Amino acid sequence: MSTPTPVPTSNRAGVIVRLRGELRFLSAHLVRRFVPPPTLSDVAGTGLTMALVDGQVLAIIPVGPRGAALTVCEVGGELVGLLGADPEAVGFFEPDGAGVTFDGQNAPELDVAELVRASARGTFEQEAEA
Amino acid sequence: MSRISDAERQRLAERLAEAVRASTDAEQASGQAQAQAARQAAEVEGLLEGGERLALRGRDLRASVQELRDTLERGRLSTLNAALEGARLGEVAGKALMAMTEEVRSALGRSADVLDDHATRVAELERERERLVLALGPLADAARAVASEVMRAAERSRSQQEALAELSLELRDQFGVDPELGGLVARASREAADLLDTLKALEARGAHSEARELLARISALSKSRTDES
Repeated sequence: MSTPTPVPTSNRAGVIVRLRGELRFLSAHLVRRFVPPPTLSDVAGTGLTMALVDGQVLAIIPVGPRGAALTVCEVGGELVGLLGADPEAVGFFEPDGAGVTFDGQNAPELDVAELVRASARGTFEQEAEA
Repeated sequence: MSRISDAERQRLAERLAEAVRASTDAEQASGQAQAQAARQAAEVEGLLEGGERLALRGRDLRASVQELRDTLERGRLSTLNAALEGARLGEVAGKALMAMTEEVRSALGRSADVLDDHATRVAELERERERLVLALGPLADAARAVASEVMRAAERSRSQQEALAELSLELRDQFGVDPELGGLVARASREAADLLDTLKALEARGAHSEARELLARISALSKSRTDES
């Protein structure tokens, strides 16, 4: 009797989040975990927001209203928290262009690296203005 | 002392006796009304206190509902984290984990719905309680006002009784009017009249011997009383 070999599928593993009412997709290899929204601390003069999550200090990128969860992602070996991206579903989703299909709707992929860069640029611009 | 006739004295005594009796009745009724009003006021106050206690219970319930909601949310996040692990394992290897987390998440979702229903009912109960307390407020005011009015009425009744007692003393000193004696004489008159009516009724029914026997007993009683005095 032979063991059935797993059939690879083209579905994408990841998370569907709702961001300002819109569905977005986050790849599973990017998302580390979900935690309850922590207490936030603004870093004076930088425009950065930090939070202590499970003993680690994370940079927080607010992408929407506070919501029910903080989505912790890993970008370039660094952990960042997305606040306001509420997880709706986790699983395997049919690819659809740059994103996936969820409940018959297109959920474009959320570019977390770009969000981090935009956040950093905002900080740099503030430093330059100062 | 006696500047009025015996008949007038007797009439005054009877009137005074009636006034004293009416005053005593009024004071008794007043006392009962006072006790009743105080009891009602206390009951309404008790209901208001019950309303306050219910408000505290409602606050506790809301707090526990919130705690449960937070717990369910933490559970939901845990299932999402487990599902994330399943997704990383791959569509085949992570299938069982994904299925289990989906089931748990579904159960948590149902629990959250039930909790929302409970929260709605708790809110409804709170609104009902507020309506009751609002309705009880004027009732409590009214009960307090009635209790206070009844107390004043009882004080007035006592004053009247004291005034009546003073009047009785004055009438006894000035005219020898004794309401107790007057009352007894009036009662004896009424009873004598009743006795005569009974005798007439016996004779009318032909019970002459019984009537005579009754008359004989009255005579004997009257004679013995005369002899004693």
